[in-house]
Amino acid sequence: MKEAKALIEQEYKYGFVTNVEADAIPPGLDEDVIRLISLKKKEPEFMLNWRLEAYQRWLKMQEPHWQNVSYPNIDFQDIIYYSAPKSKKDGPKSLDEVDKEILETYEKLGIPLDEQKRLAGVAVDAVFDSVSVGTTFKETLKKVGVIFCSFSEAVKEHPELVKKYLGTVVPYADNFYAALNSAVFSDGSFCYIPKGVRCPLELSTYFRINAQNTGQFERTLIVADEGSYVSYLEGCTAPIRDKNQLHAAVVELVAFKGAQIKYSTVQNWYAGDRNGKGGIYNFVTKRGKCAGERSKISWTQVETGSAITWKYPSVILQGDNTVGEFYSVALANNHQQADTGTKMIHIGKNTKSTIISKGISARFGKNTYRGLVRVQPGALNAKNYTQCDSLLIGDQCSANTFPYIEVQNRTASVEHEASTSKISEDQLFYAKQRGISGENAVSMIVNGFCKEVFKNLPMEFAVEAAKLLGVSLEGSVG
Amino acid sequence: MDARAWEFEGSLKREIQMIMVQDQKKDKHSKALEHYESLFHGLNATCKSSEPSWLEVLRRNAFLKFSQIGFPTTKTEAWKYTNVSEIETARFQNVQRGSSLVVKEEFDQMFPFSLNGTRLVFVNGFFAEHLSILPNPQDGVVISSLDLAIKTHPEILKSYLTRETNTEDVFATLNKAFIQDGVFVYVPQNLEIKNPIHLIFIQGESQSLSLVQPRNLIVIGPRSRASIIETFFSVSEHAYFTNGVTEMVAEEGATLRYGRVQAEGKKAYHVYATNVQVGKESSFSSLVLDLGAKIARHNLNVELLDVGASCNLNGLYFPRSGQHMDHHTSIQHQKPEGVSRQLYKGILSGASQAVFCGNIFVAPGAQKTDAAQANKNLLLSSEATIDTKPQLEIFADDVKCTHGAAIGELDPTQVFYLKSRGISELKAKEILSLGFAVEVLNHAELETTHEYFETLVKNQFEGNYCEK
Repeated sequence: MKEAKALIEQEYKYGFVTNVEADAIPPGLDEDVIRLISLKKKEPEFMLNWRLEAYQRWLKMQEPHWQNVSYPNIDFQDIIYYSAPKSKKDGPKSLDEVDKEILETYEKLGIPLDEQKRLAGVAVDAVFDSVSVGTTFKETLKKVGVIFCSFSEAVKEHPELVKKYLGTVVPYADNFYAALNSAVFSDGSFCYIPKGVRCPLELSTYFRINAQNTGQFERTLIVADEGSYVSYLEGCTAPIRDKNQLHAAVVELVAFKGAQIKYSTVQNWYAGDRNGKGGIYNFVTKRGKCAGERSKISWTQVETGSAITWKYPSVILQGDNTVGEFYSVALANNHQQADTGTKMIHIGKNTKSTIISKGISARFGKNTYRGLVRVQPGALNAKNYTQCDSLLIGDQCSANTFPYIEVQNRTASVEHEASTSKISEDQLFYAKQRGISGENAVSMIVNGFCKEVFKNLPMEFAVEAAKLLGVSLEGSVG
Repeated sequence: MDARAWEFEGSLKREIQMIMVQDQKKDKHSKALEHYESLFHGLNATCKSSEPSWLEVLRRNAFLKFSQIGFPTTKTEAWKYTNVSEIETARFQNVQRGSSLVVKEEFDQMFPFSLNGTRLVFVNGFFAEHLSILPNPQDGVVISSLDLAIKTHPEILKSYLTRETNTEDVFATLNKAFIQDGVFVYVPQNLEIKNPIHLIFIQGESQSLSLVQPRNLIVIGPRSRASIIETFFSVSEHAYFTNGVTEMVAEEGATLRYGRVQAEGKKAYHVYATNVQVGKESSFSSLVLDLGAKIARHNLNVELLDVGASCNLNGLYFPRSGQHMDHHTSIQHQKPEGVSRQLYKGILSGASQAVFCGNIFVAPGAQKTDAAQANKNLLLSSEATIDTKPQLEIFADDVKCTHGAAIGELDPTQVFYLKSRGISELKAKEILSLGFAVEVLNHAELETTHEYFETLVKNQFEGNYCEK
């Protein structure tokens, strides 16, 4: 297994820092900071009140410790809660006004921000640190009535929509980090697909954590009205830092009658060095609600980065005949820790959910699948199929599976399967015997292991994800 | 009053209410502890003269530990789905030794099964010699009550009872604080005990709210074989609480079979821990059958301590309306080349609840571990609830671990098939449910006791179990 060992050692490809003067406020959190954030963002009053309520609630909450990850205590007073890249004017009006360095950063990341990338069919609302700096393809979207903008813009331009849906899926009192996010969220994306519209583009956002010690508190809200369809892509990379950084985002999805939301994530934040120093803490609350009948929400995630990943993209299957899906690949290499999974709450009749989770642990990685499947008494004929497989590479890593299954209706059919295995010497030998190098063989086996998840990603992401996995695993198998 | 003041008043009211609720909770906990403290002192007064000092120290320390931890709530992860506040608030009482005498005729009537082999009967937790059948003495084999063994084999008992374990939960600690009687079995090396050893715990009609805390210790020496069958049986209509612990040790190359039947009274509470240590290349197999009690909880902890140790755990539970049955199993693979198999099945009828939580832990370095676990549940009624939590914790890479859980109702096409052949719907359901259950009996290596378990399972389907 020497070849595989060589695979892990690769350094983080996207480790660079952009020198942009950040318009940051001093670290710490109190009501004044929240007022200041709200003021800087020129928010209407309802937003400020909501933030303050969330803050008051947060003060009463305790940091959760049940998760199967360990990290030093976070000092919430040592975090900078607002940082916006400075520009000459109030904000850039077009791409030409965007800081060159920022554009270069995107260039390095390969983000298709400019027009020539139109062929890729991607509209990007890029978030650089906390404020959106550029938006493309707005016109195309406008024609069909799709609203896709930064959260701050949505608060100003479509306050009625924000007011109506914000916090309906993840209330601010949901959990400790959701409350913190609700109080201090800086920006994020907002998307509204009107009735019967099939969104003509794959929507995507890239988040980057740039200024040092800036916790990023993104908030995403996607509302798909009756009979609409949207595919949303989220991808992340972040530069190398020594000090741990906290990321506590909230994503809310609402799907009405017959609507379909496909949410895909490729997460490749800095995972810390080989010895576990540095890296991002990724504590995210993601939840979707299938509010109307025949709606469908599907989460696909490829989690290769972050020192700690802790998230459970969930679906509340409220309407009848609704469908929830969760496809995940989580990689924990070096000293990475991942505690991820999903929750499927079956409430309506004839609801279906599918969970496919693939965990890969290498070196000292700690990978945990934690999932809940709940069938409520009224959920007639609910069906769930869960499969979670773990692949272990090296004898120092660990893989854990903690599924919770709660069934209160006899017509439910719930199946759960899990397995743990390693890349066997036989498999490698077989590949090598046919002239395939060990490294390629490992990459092939891992890709095969994750195939069920990758095939659910949009085309361009599937390519990136497969590459990412290869890069992240380089040197881990030996 | 303006709106703001009203709002303030409302929130103040809520806060006062919250404080009151918290106080009540606190009150409940401290009252329960006070009650057990008085029981503990009562017991100390009665057995002060008869017990050795090491046991007194052991019990005292256990009680201290218990009073520090207190009863679990549903916020305790291991008790998330089983609420024991009924047990906490009920005022159970110690039973005096010899307080209820059951004569042989009564026992034969009460316990309708004839079992071959050695039989040790306990009435309300105390050994009843006149009901028991002890085997002819064999070289070095000890089969006796714990109470007697403390006097005859103090060294062995002291060494096993005072061991530190990290698997002990708070109920096992409570049991330790009240050690009085139970079974002690010791089989030295290279011996085979041919007949199964039956341990029968019956609850007499004597009094309501009795607290029975049996403690069994089974030690099977190197390369020896034995089977132990525990049966908890009662026709009592009273509420009572059985809080027992069985500790088992299978040393190198030993084979230990363990059967367990829980058929307590309708209003009984039953919390039981079976802790097993399996040595090098020895094997442990078990079958637990849950039939009775209002709230029943069984913790089965198996530690595969050395290379090549194996276990095969099987369980069947049949909760009816108003019953709550909870099974927690934990298998720890500490060393390489261990094998574990697990099959637990439940058939839920009426407004019943069942819980299954199975944990497989593979320690760093426990390579070539082969672990498989399955939990299947059949819901016969729309009011039944099942919570299942199969878990894997793996810290080694060269392992094969799988687990699976399935929940569903009877396949309507299968029911239809049988009906089309002239079998009534109820009978068809019975046939299919029995078939579902029998797989577990076949999976367990029961040998001579197969018939006993089969009868019990078949009896379960009488009385229209499938109808509700």
